[in-house]
Amino acid sequence: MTLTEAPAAARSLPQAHTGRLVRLEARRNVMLLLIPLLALLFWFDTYRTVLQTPPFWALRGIVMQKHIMLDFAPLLAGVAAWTGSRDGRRGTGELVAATSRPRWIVQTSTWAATTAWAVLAYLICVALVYGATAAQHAPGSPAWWPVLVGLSCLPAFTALAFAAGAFFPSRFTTPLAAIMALLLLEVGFRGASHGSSPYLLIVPLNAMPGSTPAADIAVFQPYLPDLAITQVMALAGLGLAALAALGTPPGAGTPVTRRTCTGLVVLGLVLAGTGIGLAGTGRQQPTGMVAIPALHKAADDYEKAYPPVCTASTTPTCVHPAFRKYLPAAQAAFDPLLRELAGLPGAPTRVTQTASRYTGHPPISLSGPAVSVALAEAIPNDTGRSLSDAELSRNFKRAFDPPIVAAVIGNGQGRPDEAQAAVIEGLLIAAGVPQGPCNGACVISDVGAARPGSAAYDAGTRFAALPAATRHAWLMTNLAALRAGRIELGQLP
Amino acid sequence: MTSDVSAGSGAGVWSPVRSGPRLLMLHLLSRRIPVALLGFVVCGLALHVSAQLGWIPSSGLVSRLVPLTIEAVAAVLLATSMRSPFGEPEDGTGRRIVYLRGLAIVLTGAAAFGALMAGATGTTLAQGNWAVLRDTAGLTGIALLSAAAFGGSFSWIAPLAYLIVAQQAINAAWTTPWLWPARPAHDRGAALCAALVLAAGIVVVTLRGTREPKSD
Repeated sequence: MTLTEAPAAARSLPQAHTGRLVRLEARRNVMLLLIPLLALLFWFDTYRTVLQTPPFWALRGIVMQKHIMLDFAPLLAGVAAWTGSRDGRRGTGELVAATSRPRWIVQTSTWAATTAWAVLAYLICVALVYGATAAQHAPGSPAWWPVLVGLSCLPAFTALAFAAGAFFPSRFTTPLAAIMALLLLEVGFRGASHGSSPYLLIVPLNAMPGSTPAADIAVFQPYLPDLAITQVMALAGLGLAALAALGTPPGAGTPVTRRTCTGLVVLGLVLAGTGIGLAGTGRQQPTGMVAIPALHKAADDYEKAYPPVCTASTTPTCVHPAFRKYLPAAQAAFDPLLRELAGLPGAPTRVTQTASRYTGHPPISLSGPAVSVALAEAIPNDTGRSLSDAELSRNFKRAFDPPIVAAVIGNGQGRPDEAQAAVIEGLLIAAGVPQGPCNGACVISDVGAARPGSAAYDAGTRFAALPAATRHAWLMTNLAALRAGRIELGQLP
Repeated sequence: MTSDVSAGSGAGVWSPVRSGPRLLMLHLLSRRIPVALLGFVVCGLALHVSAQLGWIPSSGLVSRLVPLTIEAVAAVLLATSMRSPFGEPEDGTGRRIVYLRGLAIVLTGAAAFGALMAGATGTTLAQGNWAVLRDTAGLTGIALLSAAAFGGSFSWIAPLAYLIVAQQAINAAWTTPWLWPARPAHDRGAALCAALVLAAGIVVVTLRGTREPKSD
């Protein structure tokens, strides 16, 4: 047997080498030490906050997106920067450049191991939140877009921080990467909430402008994925550019690799720029979600059909099936008022729930015999506990009864006059609308009802003290004159 | 031939007056203090500019969060700069290292506080300059303790976690003085807690130095 006939030594594939490298890095990764801290932060900040909100998938997804990113991204950025600066810190850059694998591959393996742990921790946390939500029988199906944004955000942040650590292996790079990530996220979120610039919507904490949406976000309409798509695009672009940048320095790989990496950097930056540019064209819809003209599908602009759930009273209150558990509280809030108004010209005989509006619309709209109320606007999202039916009922009364009464009694042209204000106040007192200050999170509708201490308030109190039949008879006789502003305060019974 | 070592000019005798400043200077340079000083100046400028340009509103959560984050950057720069480039062998060089560490913390801390206070001067920050001083002191203490526990490279971990917790505290108006950012500027309990944490951080890092993992 000649030398040339000898069997070739078994050679493993380069992919197998890379896989083994990732496994090695994963076994000794610093992320493992930080997982307890991440778990603690997640429980304290994200889990507690999300579980305090009513169990609606989209609402919880949006709240989770904000909190979990704030807990994960800065910490992971710090860890990734530290991992990326390893060769520079130890002064082993030249040493590892001479190893069998290109330096770019080695660095990418380190990044992949760090990111894999981060993504695994993230997915476990998401599973906990969504599992708890499912256990509370949340209606509908889970909102996956917020999860997807998080899945894009973590690799992007770790890639950017890793590249920062690799290129600037100073002792200060790691802390700066972590705190700057926090500052960037915070400023971007708050800036977008205050409408500073539509481009800030690209910050992955934002699922929509504003802090916390109403409970019925994406219940009446589908979840608009436009903003999430631009965020994924921008984050993927930034991550790609950062990772590819590792392969561009001399010695990072073969000339072909370096040229390819340069191309990928350009591609990543173009992708990120496109995402940011598209986000800048986003506009908040009346439904709260952001629509981006270039990505928006007209097919998404529809109201989901649903069979309303109604009470069996003579003045029925109807809600979306997802809000079934709020029906007793809504009935307790609206029934007394509708009984007071029953039979009056223009008075509603039925209450139906409508979607919350984010464009400054009034919380109710009266059309014919039905009044539509944006019920979810009065459901607090962050009380830290479930409200009882009585508490919810008081919230609904404060938020919706005043505008309903004002719409029936007032002339529809600005503030009511003194007599109208007195009658509005009297009817609100008679319907049991709380008069004291609001304790906790609640919406108070100011429709110009009489203030305590004024003559109109005293007249309203007297009006409320009348027997219900007397009140009703007086209104039946005088409502037209009252609406026209021809009744003086002294003429009230 | 006789040795003249004993008759020499005393060149081998260490004099703290002559060598002290040089030793301190070398110690500070080994800790990259000049870069940290530059960082403090940038933090001060960032605080001033963001307040002047209206990026920090006069009330609400953001009015506290942005200054807090800038103060955290300064605190973490200080704590990170305390990392020894020589690791454990440095502890075997004698007792003077303790004084050097203490002096380095005090001098660098004074520079950080000075830069941030200068940055806050002339602005209308939500809680004024006292809050800047208190919050920076507390965050510096946390960063130093974090450096002692996890290593200089990881001094940012505890301040970062604290900022996230503090955000919840500000939002929910918690009253515990240990979460001093949620308390008013002139709250004595909050100031005391921040001062205690700072003192603990200074003492621990002065005596023990920052923890340096062998692999780093």
